[in-house]
Amino acid sequence: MTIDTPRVVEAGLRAFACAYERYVEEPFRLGQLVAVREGPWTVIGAVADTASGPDDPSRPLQATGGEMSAAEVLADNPHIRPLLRTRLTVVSCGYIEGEVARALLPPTPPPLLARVEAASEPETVRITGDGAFLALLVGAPQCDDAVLAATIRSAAAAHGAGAREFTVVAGKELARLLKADSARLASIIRGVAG
Amino acid sequence: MIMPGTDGDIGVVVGGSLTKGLEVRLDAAKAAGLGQYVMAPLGDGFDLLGMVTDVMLKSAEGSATAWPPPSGEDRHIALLREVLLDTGVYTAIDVQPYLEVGEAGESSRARRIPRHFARVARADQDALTRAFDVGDDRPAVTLGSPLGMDDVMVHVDLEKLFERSAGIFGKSGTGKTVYAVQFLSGLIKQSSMAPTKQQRTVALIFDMHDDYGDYLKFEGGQRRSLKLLHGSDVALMGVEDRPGLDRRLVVGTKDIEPDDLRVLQSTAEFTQSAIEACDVLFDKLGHGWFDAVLAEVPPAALARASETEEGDAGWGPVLKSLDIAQPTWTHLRRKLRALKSRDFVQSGDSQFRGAIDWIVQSLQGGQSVVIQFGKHGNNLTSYMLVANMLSRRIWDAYQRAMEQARGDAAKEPNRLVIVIEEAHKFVDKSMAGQTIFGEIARELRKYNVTLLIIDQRPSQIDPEVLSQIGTKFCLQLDSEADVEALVGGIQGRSGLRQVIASLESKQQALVFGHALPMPVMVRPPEFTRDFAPGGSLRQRLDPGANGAASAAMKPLYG
Repeated sequence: MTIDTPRVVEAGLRAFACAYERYVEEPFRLGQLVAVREGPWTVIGAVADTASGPDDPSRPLQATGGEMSAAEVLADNPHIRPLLRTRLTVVSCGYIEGEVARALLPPTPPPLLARVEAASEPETVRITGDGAFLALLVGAPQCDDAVLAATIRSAAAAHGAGAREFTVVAGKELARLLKADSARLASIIRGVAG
Repeated sequence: MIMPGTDGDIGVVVGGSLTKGLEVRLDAAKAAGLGQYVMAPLGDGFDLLGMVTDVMLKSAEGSATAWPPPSGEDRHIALLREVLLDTGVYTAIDVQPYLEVGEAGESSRARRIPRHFARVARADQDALTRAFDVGDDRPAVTLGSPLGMDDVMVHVDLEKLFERSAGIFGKSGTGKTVYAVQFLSGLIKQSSMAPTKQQRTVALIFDMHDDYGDYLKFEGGQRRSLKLLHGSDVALMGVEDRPGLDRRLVVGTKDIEPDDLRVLQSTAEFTQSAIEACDVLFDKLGHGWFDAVLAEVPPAALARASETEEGDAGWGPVLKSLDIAQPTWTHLRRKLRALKSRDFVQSGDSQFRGAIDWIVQSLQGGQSVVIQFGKHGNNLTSYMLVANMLSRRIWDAYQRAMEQARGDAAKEPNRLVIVIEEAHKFVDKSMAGQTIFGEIARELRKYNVTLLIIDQRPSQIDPEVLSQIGTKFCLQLDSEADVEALVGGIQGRSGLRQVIASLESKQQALVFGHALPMPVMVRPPEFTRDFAPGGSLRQRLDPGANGAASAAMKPLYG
């Protein structure tokens, strides 16, 4: 369990990077909201990118294994997995301080090496309810249309029966934010509905 | 004052000006229609009251409408349409500011506008009561409910309404007569409550199609009209001899003067030269001129004066001496014969003078008088002849009475409203200066006589006369010229044009002008079988105060 929990490895106000201790096949998904609960506030962010590869870029992974599947290769070569890493790029979209949830940048970055966990449904609903969190994502260079669509879809799942209503609220917020770019709005909405 | 977030809230002010109107962006899922009243806070205990004069679809940015969502019901398309509504695209309304109303009921013409983002709400009964308050003790009649506000009633002060002339305009079949009957019924009812006859406002109604007497033709059936609704407060006079009339009107040929015929030029009945010939003959022959023209030989005095050397004493030399051309003479005789063929026109003297006295006594005694035309109602010439003859003489009688009163209000005659239909024929652009109706309209209430004109072609009415019409009731009109004639020169006229253009063919009217603090688009009261005219505002609000009549008024006043 502990080795499959990523930790913050690079921290900024707008985005932070986190990494698993080794390569994992099923990391947090694109657009999933994650929470860093260590520190004076809980920083909430959306997964904007995921990358896996060698921990040391100067030692590239050799494509070996013949007819074996990836799982069989890793099982057959247990020394490889510790040399690999899965890294995530997370864009901040709010923070929770006590009872107050704010769709704003956190006052300070999340602590390095703090554990990064999936945001709970209540946390997700509090941060995303009015759609304001999208302003931080739309402004982030890491967030393209696919990230935004995936984030809205992911957050909608946390709203349960109110998922449809939340989707419309988020869509309207996007429409306001992207006022001059209807093509982009249409692209994101297609991703949300898809 | 407006409380944000209340049910009546519909949007926010986003722009505009006092003269051109405010732009209000509607909140999601809110709607407002043309003619509805809205209000917005001015910030010092006053609210601005205005009327919706346009409804617009707008886009926040051009791209939403340049690249609209594709058609279809796919999930993403439906979602895209939904998210764009009230964000990328939205609904806005134009609001023409009219009044500033204070919490204590004071109101004045709008001279300020709310600030940006002021909340705008649908006006409620309280705001409209403050705006249209006529005072509990003043006679008033119901105009109807402002559109989209069925629970609200607007009233107009009767005295103010007929302080100046008024007009009901609308194309054929829009309910002008029904509206007029309702008003006149209110007028007669209110007048009957006046403590003295002198304080009564009465009507002299030239009833072209016999709608204002016993029954009014209404949607294939009929409704009780003024005589049956008001009994002894209404007197019936007719040009036909039929039972039920209080008096028959007969016109003697000796009663007809050239000025009585002048108005018939507008129907092409008489040419200008024929009327000039009438003037000459009247000058020579006095009241016998009409019969003389129809005689085979000229009167002896005229014949002698123009007898030729050859001894010809016929009309030829007379006409020559009077400088009347033969075609004019032929035309004049033909038209006078046609007039005389009417059964209410008789040779020589009649009881016409007596009829005038009877009408004036009835009016000044507090009775309204309805002049019915029976089969002659379809003949505009008959209608105009009688209306013009009577109105000229009654106007003279009122002028004399006012001059004799010499400013002593107690001796002045009571107020009279003359009701004419097809008014544009009486006061068209060429005739307004020559008929009594143009003069009455121009003199305002100087002689306590005003007009209620009912017409379908206001653009044909002389603009000078139309400008003197204080309060205008506008039902549906098709012609742009007619609409323009009514709203020309009024603040916010472009908005009012839109409102008039949107009127339905029945049961909708825009009322504006002197008697009202601001225009109001109303649905007139239902003209039910048990229609009964209203009392004062207090009586209307207190069903117990007016006995049985109040019970009958309930459907009308809610």
